[in-house]
Amino acid sequence: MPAVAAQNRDIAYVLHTRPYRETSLLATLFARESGRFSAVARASRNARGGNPVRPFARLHVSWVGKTDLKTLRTVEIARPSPVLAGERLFVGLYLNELVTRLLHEGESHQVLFDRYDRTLEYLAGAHALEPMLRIFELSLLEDLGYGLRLDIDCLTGAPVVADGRYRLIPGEGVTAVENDDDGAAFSGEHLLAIAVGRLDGLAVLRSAKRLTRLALTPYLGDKPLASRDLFRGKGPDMRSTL
Amino acid sequence: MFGPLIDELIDALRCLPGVGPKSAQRVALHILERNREGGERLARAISDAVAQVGRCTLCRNFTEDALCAICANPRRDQSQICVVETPADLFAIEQSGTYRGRYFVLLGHLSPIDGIGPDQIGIDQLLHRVTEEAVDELILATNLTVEGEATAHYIGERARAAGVSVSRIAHGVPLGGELEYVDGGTLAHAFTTRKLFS
Repeated sequence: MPAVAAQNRDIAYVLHTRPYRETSLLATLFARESGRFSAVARASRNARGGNPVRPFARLHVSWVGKTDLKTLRTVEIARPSPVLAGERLFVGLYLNELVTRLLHEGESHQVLFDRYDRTLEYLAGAHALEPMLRIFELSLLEDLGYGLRLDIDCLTGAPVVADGRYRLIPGEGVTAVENDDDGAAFSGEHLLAIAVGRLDGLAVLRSAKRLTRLALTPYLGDKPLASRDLFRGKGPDMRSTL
Repeated sequence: MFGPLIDELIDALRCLPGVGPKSAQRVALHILERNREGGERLARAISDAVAQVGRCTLCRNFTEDALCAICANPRRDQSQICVVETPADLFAIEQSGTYRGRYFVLLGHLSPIDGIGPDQIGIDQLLHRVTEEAVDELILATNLTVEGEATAHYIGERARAAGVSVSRIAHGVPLGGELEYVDGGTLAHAFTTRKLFS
């Protein structure tokens, strides 16, 4: 009797696809238990009834394969992709780029998966984009083990105070600065608000955006995030989102 | 294994999509065994095409002249431009025989993860054309993938800002399709974009 290849099942999102051979796709998936992995979706480009292997749809997938490149066996839509139009679609692409770039292959990240799942739901609703994105970015860092303590000075261990000025040491945390000549420091008040997820007010949001950008940079490598380019030429409101 | 010339031929054939070592060997042996004339013709055709085919200066489709046959044809409707991702898409639309306007071929789509942004797919050139040429309608016929939609949205916004009317090809149940087998996302789209039945 021939050995039956072990088949894996999971719920997953497609992060990215690219054409492969005549009618297949090479897909990057983010599965709840199995984490990020790549798989071939055979003959999915000429599917007549629509192709379920696409980003933002929650899928039940099963796959086989012993190498890094798996082969998808079944793909069923668990929840159809939300209708993301315009800016919200660009933000969705940004989320996918961020997760693809930061997640290591085959590492399980269930908490992050659930958060990604929820963020997509929010994205499809009418929630304000900016606070939602900042909270996602901060939790992404946290879930990947790069979490930032924003209420404690990472060098002295003293609590962060509202009227102090602090700078970010990427990968470490925040520490008090004496003088803030180049204006690169963060106000203690903003840091404390960000730490408890109270992202209201333009000034706090601006600080939060600068903070997450700085904090993410070391893990993104030297290639900038291309989805930020999609917002180029937009009004100042949209440019400030990512 | 066969000698340097044959090895080189087999290796060169592998640049074709979907041709691995086995197929390359089969093709090389076939040419040498049974069809040397055909092989010469193929070699000439490839080297002529590679040397002489460039891009149409207006629509970026492949052509050996400055303008492709469609852009140079005065009987094509000058007031419409249809934006497609690849020459194969253009060919598919031409085959359907319904469209009489002209085209713009992006040769790709926006795909942040692959590092493809607005600059790589000639969007500035398209917008320049739209404003220069008194175009009435820009038809966005990019694919119904996430990247195709993002590309359509990006171009659409800029073209509208330039004062051009923008349309998007319709999407829904395929001809001959049975609802039972159409996936949920496609059906949802078909419902939200339904039109008056007359």
